[in-house]
Amino acid sequence: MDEAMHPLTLLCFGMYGGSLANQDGAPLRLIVPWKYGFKSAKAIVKISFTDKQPNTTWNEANPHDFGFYSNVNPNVDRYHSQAHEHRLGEFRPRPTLMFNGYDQVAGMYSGMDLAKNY
Amino acid sequence: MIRIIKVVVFIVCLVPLGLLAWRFFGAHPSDMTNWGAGLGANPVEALEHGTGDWTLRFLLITLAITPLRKLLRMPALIKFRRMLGLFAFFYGCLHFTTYLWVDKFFNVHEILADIVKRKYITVGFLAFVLLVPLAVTSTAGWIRRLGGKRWQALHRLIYFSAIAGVIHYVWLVKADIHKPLEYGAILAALLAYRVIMWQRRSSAARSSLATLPRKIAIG
Repeated sequence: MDEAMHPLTLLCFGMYGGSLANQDGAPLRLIVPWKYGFKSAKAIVKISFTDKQPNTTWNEANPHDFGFYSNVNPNVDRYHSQAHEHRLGEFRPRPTLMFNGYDQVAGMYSGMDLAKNY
Repeated sequence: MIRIIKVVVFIVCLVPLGLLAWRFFGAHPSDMTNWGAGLGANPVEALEHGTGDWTLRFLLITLAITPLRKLLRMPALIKFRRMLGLFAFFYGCLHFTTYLWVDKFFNVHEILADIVKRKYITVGFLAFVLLVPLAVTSTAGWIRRLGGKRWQALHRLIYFSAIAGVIHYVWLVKADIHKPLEYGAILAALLAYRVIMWQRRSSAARSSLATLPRKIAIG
């Protein structure tokens, strides 16, 4: 719930001043900028709240790479390394930043071992 | 005639590289800011997958030469085997270079960690390394120096390189293993042909051995 209520978490209806296109996740999509992209679910039509931690698709498909939180974290020793990233239009890779550079979310995970809860 | 066909095959083998380069440099190669755009949102991945795919394809094509020339009764196909094998090595070099340069930017620490820790990289690296002695000894001079038997034994390493290449692909995909299994199925068929041929040849040799003493006795 902390993550959902965080001001950086967005529910988007539009993009670049227009309405959201189908391929960008119309009618409604989530943006969680400090997590890996697949956590920003597209084409949301229903939201339900559960009292237990649910399974997630990628967590089931490849638990070694994709944990429940899937915060951007270069320090987790993943099967496919996420220590560096290539940005659009850049040739050289650059080191990936913790929480994708959004340090203001770190407080939500204080006291958590993020190498385990990745 | 063979010479002309060889030139044509050579050029055809370069087409995949040409297409990758075309997509990489785009319609306006002088505009450096646009490089890679033709390869989609993840040009690094497109280069790695493109060169990797073609390495495996050329390995399989090279391995298909012997079954094809026997089944189709086209012995002249053997004349293309070295070139195709060297193209497998060529695309393998491009694949490895893409990984070292574009993906890792020669970050030695990360590359060594990758080779030791990530099994799909370990086995991919093995597949590449196994091809090196084959490329080096691909000349007529080396066949003479090693002797036909030993040269042939050495070049059976291609079986292990191809197997390692397919395992590399199976282990690296995240969820959908359909594509790697397609390559695996073709490789399995090409290797099964060889196993069947060996069995036939050894049983033929055995039956001729069995008749040998009798002949000597008669003689």
